[in-house]
Amino acid sequence: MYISVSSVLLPAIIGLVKFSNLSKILKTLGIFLFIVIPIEGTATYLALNNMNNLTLLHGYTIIEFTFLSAMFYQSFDHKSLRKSTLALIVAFSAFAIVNAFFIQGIDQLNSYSRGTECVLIILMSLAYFYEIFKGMKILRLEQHPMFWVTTGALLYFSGNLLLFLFYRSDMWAIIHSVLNIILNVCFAIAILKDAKKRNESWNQPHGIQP
Amino acid sequence: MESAAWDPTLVAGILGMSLLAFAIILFMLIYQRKLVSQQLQVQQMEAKLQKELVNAAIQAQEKERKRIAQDLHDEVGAMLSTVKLSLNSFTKNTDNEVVQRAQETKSYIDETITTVRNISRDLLPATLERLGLGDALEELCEKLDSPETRVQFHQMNEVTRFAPQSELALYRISLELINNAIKHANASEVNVSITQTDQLQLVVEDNGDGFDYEAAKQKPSSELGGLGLKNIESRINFIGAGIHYDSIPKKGTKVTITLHIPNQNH
Repeated sequence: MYISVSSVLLPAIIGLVKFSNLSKILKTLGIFLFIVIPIEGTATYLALNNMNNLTLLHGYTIIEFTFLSAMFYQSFDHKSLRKSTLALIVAFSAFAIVNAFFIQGIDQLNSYSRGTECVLIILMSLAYFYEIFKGMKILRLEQHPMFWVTTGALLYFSGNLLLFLFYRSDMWAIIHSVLNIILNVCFAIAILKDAKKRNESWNQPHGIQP
Repeated sequence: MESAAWDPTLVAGILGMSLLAFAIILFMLIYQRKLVSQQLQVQQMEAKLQKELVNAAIQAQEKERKRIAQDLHDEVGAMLSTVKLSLNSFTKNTDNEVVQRAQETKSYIDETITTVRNISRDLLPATLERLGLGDALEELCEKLDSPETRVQFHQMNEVTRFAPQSELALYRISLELINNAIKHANASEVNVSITQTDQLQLVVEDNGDGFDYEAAKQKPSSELGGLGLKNIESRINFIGAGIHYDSIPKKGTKVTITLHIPNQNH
């Protein structure tokens, strides 16, 4: 559990070190990770003191969805997908707020919002993969930073979808922790790949090599 | 919070979802690479074919230029000299008007002979064929040098002779680059230098307006802004040389061309 919570430090530290070298998309991820650390820290502190930390989850869900969607928004080529992503950010945030105050309650687990978030992020991940597949531009997908972000997101949200909808605390401790570590490792790889890619493209000369 | 035993249906569902996601990622990694590499192969074949076509076009163009240059020099030039000689007989005429007309016609023929020689030289620089790239570039720089634009040539060491098609391509590229510096970059100074060590290095440097390589390359070749970059690129590819552009806005452009010359002692 503690390994899972602290796993966010791995991509966050790499992101901090490489931040100036990152593309706009991965800078978005970096900022998200910097925001996640104090939230995770506070949630852990509250849990350790036997206090309810579920209120934080309502805000965290909106932040997580907004940042991940913003990354997909920047990655999509099709205008219609970009527009839909923007609309989804607004609609989902409104739904999560309504759910927090009027449906499930601010001190309860926001399973409706989390479940919806899972479905939407899975759909965005699939749309991103479909666009890549149709575009036929990327040969080595594993070298592409956004591939790792999408891989992490797809694995994390697919695995967690049913867990969020049918919450079981004992299962949560193990399954969510494992998936969270996978997600953060994927984020760390994405940041490293992006920094490396940008370094290489800056060092490329203009012209033709013999 | 609620706590309960592990629900096998839920575990199966979670496992199923995770496996599905994993399968999609794996499919993307393997199948996408396969498809893109196939597409790349087709593109490479097309590019190779295109390169062969361009090379054939360059060779045909140079062959035709050589033929026209030789015809102009050997046939038209010779015919004009014959006409000039035959005009000499009119200068012995007693009629002053005929003599004067003959002298005038002779001077026109002299001008025409000079023009024909110049066209022939431009089409196929005789110095290049006879003495090699260094001397031909020196002659070219002298010809293009003017009070508005100083065109200077520097040869750092002895340049050996190498493949005629490579010499001709480098000559044409140099001409294109100097013309770009004069006409498009408004340069007041152009320096052409050539060095030969284990490879040949040709540098054309000017103090003109500079240009954005990527933007210029994107422009269609029909546009003047294309600066003949595609033409230069085709010739560079044709001889297997390398080219590097280094341009700073309002400061100038430095173009470095490198060509490996096989050791002729072996």
